[in-house]
Amino acid sequence: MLRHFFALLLVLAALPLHGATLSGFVRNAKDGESLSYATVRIAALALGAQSNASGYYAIKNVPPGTHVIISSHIGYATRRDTVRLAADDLEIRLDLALTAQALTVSEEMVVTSQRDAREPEPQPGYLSLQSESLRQMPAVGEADLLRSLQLLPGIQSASDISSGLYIRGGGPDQTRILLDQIPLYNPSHAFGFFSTFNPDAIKDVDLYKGAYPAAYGGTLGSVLNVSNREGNNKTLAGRGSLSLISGRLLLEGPVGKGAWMLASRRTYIDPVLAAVRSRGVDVPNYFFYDLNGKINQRFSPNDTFSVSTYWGQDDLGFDFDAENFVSIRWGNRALTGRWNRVFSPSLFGTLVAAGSYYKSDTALSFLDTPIYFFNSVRDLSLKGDLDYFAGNNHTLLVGLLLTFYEFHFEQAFNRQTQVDFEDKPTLFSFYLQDEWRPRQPTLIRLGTRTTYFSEGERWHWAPRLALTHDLAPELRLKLGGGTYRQYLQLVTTEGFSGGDFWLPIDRTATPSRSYQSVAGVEWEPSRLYQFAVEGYYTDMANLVVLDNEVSADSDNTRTADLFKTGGSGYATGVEFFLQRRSGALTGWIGYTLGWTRRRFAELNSGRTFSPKYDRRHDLSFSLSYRRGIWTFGSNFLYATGQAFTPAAARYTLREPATGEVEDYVLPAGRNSARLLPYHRLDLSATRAFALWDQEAEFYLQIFNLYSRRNEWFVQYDTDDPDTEPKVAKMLPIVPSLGLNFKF
Amino acid sequence: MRLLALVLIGTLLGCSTDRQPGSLFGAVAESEIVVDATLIVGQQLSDVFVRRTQDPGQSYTRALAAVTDAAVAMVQNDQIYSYRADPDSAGRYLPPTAAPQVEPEAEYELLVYLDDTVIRARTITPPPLHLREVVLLDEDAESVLRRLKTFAELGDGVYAAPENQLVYPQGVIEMRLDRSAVPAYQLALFSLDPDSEFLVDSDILEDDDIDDFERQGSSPPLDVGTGKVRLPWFAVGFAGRYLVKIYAVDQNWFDYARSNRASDGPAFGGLAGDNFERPIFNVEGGIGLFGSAAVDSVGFFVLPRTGNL
Repeated sequence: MLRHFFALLLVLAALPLHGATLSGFVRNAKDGESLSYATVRIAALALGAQSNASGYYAIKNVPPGTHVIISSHIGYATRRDTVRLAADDLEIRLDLALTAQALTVSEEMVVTSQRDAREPEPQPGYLSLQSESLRQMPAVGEADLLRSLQLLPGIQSASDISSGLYIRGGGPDQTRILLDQIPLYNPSHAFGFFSTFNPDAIKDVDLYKGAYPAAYGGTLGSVLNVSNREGNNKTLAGRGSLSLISGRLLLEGPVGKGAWMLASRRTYIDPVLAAVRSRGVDVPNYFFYDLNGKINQRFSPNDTFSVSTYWGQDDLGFDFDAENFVSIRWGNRALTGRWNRVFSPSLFGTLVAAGSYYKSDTALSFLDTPIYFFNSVRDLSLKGDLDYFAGNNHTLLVGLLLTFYEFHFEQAFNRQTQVDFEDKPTLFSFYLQDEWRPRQPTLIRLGTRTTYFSEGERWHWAPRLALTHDLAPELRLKLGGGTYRQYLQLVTTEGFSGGDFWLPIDRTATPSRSYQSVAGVEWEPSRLYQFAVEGYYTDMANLVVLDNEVSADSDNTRTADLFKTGGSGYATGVEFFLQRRSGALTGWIGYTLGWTRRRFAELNSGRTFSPKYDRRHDLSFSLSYRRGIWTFGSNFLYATGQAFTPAAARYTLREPATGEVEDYVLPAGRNSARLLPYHRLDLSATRAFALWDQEAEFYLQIFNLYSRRNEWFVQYDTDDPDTEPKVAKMLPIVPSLGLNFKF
Repeated sequence: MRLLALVLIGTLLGCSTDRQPGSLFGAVAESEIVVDATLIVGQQLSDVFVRRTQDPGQSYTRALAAVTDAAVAMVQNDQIYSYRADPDSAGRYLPPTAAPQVEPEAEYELLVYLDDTVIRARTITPPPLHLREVVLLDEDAESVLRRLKTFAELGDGVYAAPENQLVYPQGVIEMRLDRSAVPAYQLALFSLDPDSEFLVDSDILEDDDIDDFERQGSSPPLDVGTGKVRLPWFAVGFAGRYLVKIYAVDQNWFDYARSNRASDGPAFGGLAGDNFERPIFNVEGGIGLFGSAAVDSVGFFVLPRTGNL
């Protein structure tokens, strides 16, 4: 049946309709990079289209005559081209090259709206980030994608040392993170401090905070899709950075009929640690590195083939002596082959074969007792997508995804294997989506996703809907919603991500499910300002959480044994977002008012509770001010305190095995109290200068300028008659400096 | 710009609040009754301790926590055993002098009457536990080097038996048993010679660590699915006599041990500080533990390095 469907699409695509089809690719004039979601329109005819993720657009039913084609993209100069269509012209190929603006909006503003006045992005909760903006934002140590996202409304962090994303009341396990369409299963370095994304290698960042479209699946909450650069197909170029923590270098250039890109990053803290160790001080050895590479070739005007790879590793070692050591290594590998083909002017296809491998390997010995943990996820996927520009009112997307997983988890204690788990489930998904414009001010994205997961032989159908409607020329309404399911569960530890692991939900538990609904209004009184208000509600069921109360040597690997299951919850809130997009001063103010709750029969006596990351108010400012060769940046965050479980009483009980009398604290209701509010101010200053006639900039960043020791978590000490609460604090002031350069 | 600065300053000033004393304690659950009793199969009915919880914000004393005016009874198979308060130890209640031994696979009910409240708890005792053997394995080949002598064979003579002389940290001590239908097992380890030599010679231990090294300790609850459990050398730090007990525990003991241990410190797979959860007590009208277990044990002698114990 699917074969017949695709055949029908191919036939339909070839059928001539009224007028010609104008199609082509939109690219960056300077380096040839494709531009996603650029707007191409014929203003006089009220016809237009938006380029897809590969930069391809198609406008159908263009009548004969001379037309002015206006192409635009945020951060680029608007371009006008004139084309003449004869009466017998069926198709016109027009590839467009846009030039970045000198004082470009994208370099100064932190978040771009993908909305053009004529071609709206129907998806509520959608954000797009430009890589240049990431580098401008004050950071701790160096620019980082996930930490930058934590500054946006609706997105929080759990602590200063974690780059995990808590989006609209969901945890990091509810966000799917993709690099060039392939999932990364532990996208963090340095125990969660940094993400694996090299900011120099990033081209586009698409974030769906909720109610994401049918083209994506497998997660309850959000999708973060990072696209790496394709490479400069005009000239050899590069850029790099040296910070206190790591060095980065990106090289790219033309090759054949395409381009290549290679971006590497490595920390150089290990020689420093080695030098300290040589003086007799016990410090661990640690380093991380990552490598992003891509090569693409255009075999014909209609065929592009690319291969991209990611290779990253963290390595921590601590050798105390022969009987005591720690060795933890974790990392991701990914390889993607991608073929883009223009089957006809109105039919664009992509075929992707990809593999992703994540591994975490922990070996330690404590007083001559060896302990070993190993986990890995292998993911081999075959993915096909077709974009059919059915008409100027309909764009159909259809796609298939087939994924073969391999999970492996092993645990040994004192030379005795306790757990040796292996599972190889399969996931199959099919989606169909229509972008329909019933009339000019309204755009509807209607989709459906059908999924089969071999564990439990489960079939699920998930509808998705997004709608945008122009209430007035500057005022837009957005609605969205859908059903979402998750078949894999991430077990992550906030303070240390090196041991994160994923497990499939097997037939002993029901996969988690969410119903999401989002509604919002965007107001753009001018190109300078945008104001948006968006409310969301998410209902969650069949949630799972790791059960830490199982026996230490239990070899049960069923979901029902490893997790507390059957949880439920909800998340709701409203986000306000005011953005100034160009000029010397750019930035935004974001505010979120939100609630999130969970309920598990085995937690908190079955009563509803707030997860730790439930924060009522979250306010953030992020500003950038450019003056001549200087750029100043600041971030300010304020959030009401995270939830914690306080002590309600103290009592005495004998430890039953030893008979030893001990004092304990009795918890009150789970997460029934609040830490003090969190706030901090970051500043940065960047000065541009010429380094051997090339562009360079020196930067100084100060994280947590007034060194507020924000509260992290509470523990209680009963060694003395006075029960002592101990509050662990987060980072103090952290200055950093570095150098960026490009050539 | 000025307005923005004013908002910033105002927010900062409003944020600059110190923590109020006592604000890290929740709604006080004071005067909750805490029962504390564990029955061991084959041993006489055990003592029962009754205490109260106290306000965590106040200075805590165990003496003040003790409950001395409760009426305590144990019921088994329609037999009621009334306890009496120990005049020498506040909060401790003693069984009748002629109390019988705890039977295996039997149900016992603990009743504590205090004021107008009845606190109840029930346990079903496990079947008897018998260690099949305790061996010393070669740590590389995992072959059996020798079998240790048991208390059944030699009594306290095990500590002098050549087979039970061990050199820290050579070999792997493995206990083997026939697993029964109990929820879990738990080990307890005791160094019986209080001033014996500390054997661990490691750069990771500082003087404070050595002072804090316990002479007794327990394992987390264990499944022992293979019928074999290995004793880690990090639990054995001193020379001299060691007594290792292995308990086959009932559901109450298992529930308490697994849930209370999870709250002790950092747990895996969660947010920092997020594992502080009320333990599972299985006590009606109060908290605490009324559990039972079957036990067996092994003894061995760890040779000192210096020749002096």
